Amino acid sequence: MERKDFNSYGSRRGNHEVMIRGTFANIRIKNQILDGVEGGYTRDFTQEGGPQAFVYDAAQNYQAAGTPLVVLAGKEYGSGSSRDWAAKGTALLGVKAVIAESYERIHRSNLIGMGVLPLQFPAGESAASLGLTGTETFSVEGVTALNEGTTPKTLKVTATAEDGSATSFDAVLRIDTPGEADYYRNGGILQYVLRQISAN
Amino acid sequence: MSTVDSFGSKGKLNVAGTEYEIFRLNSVEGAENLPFSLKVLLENLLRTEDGANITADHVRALAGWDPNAQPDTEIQFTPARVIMQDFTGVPCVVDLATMREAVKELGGDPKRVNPLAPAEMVIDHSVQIDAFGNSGALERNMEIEYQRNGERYQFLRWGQTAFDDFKVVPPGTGIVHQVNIEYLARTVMTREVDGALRAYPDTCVGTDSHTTMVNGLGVLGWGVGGIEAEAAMLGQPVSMLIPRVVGFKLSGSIPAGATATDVVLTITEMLRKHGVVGKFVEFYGEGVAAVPLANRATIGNMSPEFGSTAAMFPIDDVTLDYLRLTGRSEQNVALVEAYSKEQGLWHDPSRDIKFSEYLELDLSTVVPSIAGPKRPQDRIELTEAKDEFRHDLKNYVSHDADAGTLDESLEESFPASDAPSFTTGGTHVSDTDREPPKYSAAHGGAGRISSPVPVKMADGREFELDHGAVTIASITSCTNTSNPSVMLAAAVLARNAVEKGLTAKPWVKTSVAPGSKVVTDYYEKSGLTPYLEKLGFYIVGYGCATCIGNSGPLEAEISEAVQANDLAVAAVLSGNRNFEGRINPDVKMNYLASPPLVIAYALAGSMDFDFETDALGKDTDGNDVFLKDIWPNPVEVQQVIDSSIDKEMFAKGYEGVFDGDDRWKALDTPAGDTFAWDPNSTYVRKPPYFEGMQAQPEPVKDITAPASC
Repeated sequence: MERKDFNSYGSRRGNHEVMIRGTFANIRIKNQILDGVEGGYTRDFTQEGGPQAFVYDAAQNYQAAGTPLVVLAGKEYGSGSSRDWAAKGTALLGVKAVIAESYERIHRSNLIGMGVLPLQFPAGESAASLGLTGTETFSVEGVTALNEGTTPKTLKVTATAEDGSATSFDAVLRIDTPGEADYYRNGGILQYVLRQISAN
Repeated sequence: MSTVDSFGSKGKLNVAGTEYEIFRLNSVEGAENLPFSLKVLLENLLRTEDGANITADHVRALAGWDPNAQPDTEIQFTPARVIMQDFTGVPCVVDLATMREAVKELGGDPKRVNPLAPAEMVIDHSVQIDAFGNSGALERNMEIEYQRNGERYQFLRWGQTAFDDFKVVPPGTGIVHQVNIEYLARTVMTREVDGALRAYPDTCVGTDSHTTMVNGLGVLGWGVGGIEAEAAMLGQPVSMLIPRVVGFKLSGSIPAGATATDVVLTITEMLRKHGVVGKFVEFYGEGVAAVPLANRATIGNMSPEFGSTAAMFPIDDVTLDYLRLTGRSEQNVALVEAYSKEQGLWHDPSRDIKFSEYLELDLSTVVPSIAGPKRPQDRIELTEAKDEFRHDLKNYVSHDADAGTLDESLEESFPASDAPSFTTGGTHVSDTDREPPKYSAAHGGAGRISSPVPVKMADGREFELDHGAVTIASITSCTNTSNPSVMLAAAVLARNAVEKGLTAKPWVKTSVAPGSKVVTDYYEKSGLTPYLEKLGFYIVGYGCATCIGNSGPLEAEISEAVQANDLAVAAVLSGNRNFEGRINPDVKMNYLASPPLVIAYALAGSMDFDFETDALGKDTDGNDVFLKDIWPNPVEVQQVIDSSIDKEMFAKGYEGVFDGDDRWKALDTPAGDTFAWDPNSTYVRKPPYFEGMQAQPEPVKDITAPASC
């Protein structure tokens, strides 16, 4: 489009294509998977050597490869004032789980609302203390217990490093209410409500 | 909804012959002495108890609230309704529209997707101030607004017709929070549930942080993110912790020189200092009854700036009078009174309410103030404003050598009164070898960083800009335009200024953007409009405008001069937030002030101004005119309020408000139960949330390799 037609960023919040590209794109964000780089970058391991790439571009490649994504995060993850797209953008980028030291309360519930699993490092642990760098391949086991109507307290996370060595830990599952479990089983709050409506 | 009612709280209330189903708070032990805001939450839990997500234990935990406890109990709050502005609200409607298609694909009836809690949107975030300072500005700005936003408006217009329980207040009407208090808020809500007419406290969440303005009307609510708003709209609860509640006692009355804006800036400073993040603030005590509703709304509005979740006022006669003034039905008013009294929600200063923390403000100690240059809690007494500006300016002017020699010399001399001699890059002008222009923002700049820049406008205006020049003076924002006491104080001040022959400085972008058309009506009726206009304060639009950064560009020559010389110029606005870059990209220093002070600063033209000792100009006899000579007499302002504002104005102003004007009606609106997406739209696209969705959820799976980060 032409410069004169820009209008404002806010006026384009109804266009997910714009908003996904704005997710994790804060110019001050520092992804620890890269050394000291500021901005919306990650490493794209679908490419040889895992070069630096825009989060959006890498996420597109992962989606094409059918690879679900996980975010490793620190404390009070998700803090910030304008958060209507924070969880939606995360989900649309293909992130299936977040493992954080702690959560901003509303973002945690929004992640579930978008079908993203909020996990927490065991008390006192963090990505650093577990020696995780983000270059590992992750698996999360025990999610299927939710299908039986129970919500496990913890899920087993295994991180396999490039050299084949594995680190396992029991991550706290931060699905805190029965309603949230229903949302997650349905893939998100909108899907949950949608099925309620079409079932009645 | 409720299927359990463990406490047997469900009962009947008869008001003037109508029977309402209510959930009585006195069915739960401990309810009586809770703060107002927690009583509202308690009723919410009683009414929505389902035995799973909302249980009897939650009800007991809330009724047994310990004021001294740290919040650790999560509860599920189901708001009665949702309000939205158009920036954050559009995605919510996009999702609803997408859900309609998904239901259709699942073989269902798309018409069954509707908000379950009433949702109302006010289009207020889109209008920008491109035109100003003339009688055609309003029309021109709306024309441009429609050109820019046509696609979004067509979409919303479709939504307005397609959905039940979703209403849109078209652009050019007002600001969501002001429309909420003047028209949308019910205070006590009614809705037919299973054949019974249920009455319950009006509560809401909104997709905008200043949703708390409606707290002034006894309506509990606050701003939330889009997903929570969608959840609430779809009848799902919002999770929250039972909060601590800060009791705030108001006493005394506002002195003659001060305004409601000064009060709210004082409260902002106090609460920021105290620390109220995550807490409710509740106003209590004898003094509450003396606070006019408009001031309660102004105070509630700035709850996000205080840091609190909500800033509540209880319901009393002042509430009822406001509901009547704004044209709410007698039946509604009678229900609000009867319901509040029945439920112990009616303000009773004799009741001993325990709070978690206590604060107090004697209103008679409030003095005229501004806040800035970048945070609302940084209140500055007007008498100190010039010194503070000079002090703060040093943080905004670059210290590189190219900028000139002024910084070093000033570090040596400040705050001495003699101007250091200095040069600025390429524009060396000394006091001795230049003809001082008639209008200069560098006037009296001795003793501060100064960098006078001559500007010549296409229309022949010539003046000098400098650091601290007030380039924007805007009467804006729901915080203040909802409050007739400050709006009419501004108008009376304008009249007094015009009668003394004063004018706004030629570099000031002046504007009035009210949050409702009622303002224009009472300005007209008071006969004061021409005086505002004489000073350049024409109505430029009805919406958030300057307050959210839709101030529009500065005039080209001014913008160029500011950028080329890296001037730290200022905006003075009656807004609620002022962080750097919010108001205008060219403007570094933003000051919040009452509407009359906004005009005063337009007359002064610079932040480097001491209203006590610096004259705003000369009257026709050549005498100096000071701010005190034109400051409105509060008795006169009250008389103007009493004679200019009436019930009919609100009734007429809001009649057919959802229908919109001819522009809105003329929009080419797509029909149909589902929306016909334009694949080329850059504004609204169908998100892929439901692609491939089945009627029954697939079992959830483990997340397995290959997964990476």
